[in-house]
Amino acid sequence: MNPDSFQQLDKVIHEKSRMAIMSTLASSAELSFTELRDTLEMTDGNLTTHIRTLQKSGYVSVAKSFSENRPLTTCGLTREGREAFGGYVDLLEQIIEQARRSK
Amino acid sequence: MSANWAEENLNTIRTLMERASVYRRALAPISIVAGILGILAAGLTQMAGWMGKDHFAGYWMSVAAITGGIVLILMYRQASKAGEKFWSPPTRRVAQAMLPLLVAGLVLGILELGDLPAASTDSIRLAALWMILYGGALHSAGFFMRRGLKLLGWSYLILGSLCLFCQESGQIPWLNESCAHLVMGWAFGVNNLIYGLYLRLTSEPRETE
Repeated sequence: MNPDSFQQLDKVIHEKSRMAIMSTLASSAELSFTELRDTLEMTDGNLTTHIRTLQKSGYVSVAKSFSENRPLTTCGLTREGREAFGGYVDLLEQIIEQARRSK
Repeated sequence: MSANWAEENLNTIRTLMERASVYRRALAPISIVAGILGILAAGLTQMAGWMGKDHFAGYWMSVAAITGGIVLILMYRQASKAGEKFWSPPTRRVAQAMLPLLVAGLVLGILELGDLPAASTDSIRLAALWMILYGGALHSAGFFMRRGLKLLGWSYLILGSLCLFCQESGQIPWLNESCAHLVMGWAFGVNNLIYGLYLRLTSEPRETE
């Protein structure tokens, strides 16, 4: 198995909670902060921290608006985020394939 | 680190993506219960000797309301059993997809109840329009659900359209107001029951019962 493959894994995505956020957002155009929190059963603080990290990397976009006079925060993957997530999944598949071949 | 770990990660990603986009509750018990209620409701009208327009719109709207209530209770129990929230994002998406056409059906029923000029004036026509709207609602919901719901939606769309065509053209003489209650029982009872039984017999172990 090529150890380089592990080194190439995106460190931002390669964390349990952030991987969950990216996976969930990858299957929707956008999700509200509350939907994301409820789906992943994360606390507000925890989700905010990870969203901020993903936002800093340019993987997630956060938009704030109002719905029925209430503030609404929606999150979605950016184009860069979708590409990075696709690359991460491809790399995982490569690792599995390499392991099968080396058996 | 091993390849097992990579495989586990991929499985987690797949599960999360499915959970986020697809409504996963078991449809079999819901469809079977809805089917049985539809058949029982049609049977009651025959026992009561109701024909044609007799209590048609009000009766079937009440049946739909009771069935809807029972379905919601079933869905709530399934969610509780799975330790998940009832009003989850996938549930909300399904509800949003179905609502416009179900509301249109409700409006048609209210028009008929009020005997307003815009009402369909013929029970078979109303039954056919309800089938078409229900089929459209199921088809829309099918984008967020598995297991042939879009096909079931299509079957209602075709059935309703055929019913409407035959009623308007007089192609099938026996398809008249006198059998309107039976048409409802067949369309909303038998069809749902068959679909539910199909799901039950070919059930996926991943679904939450």
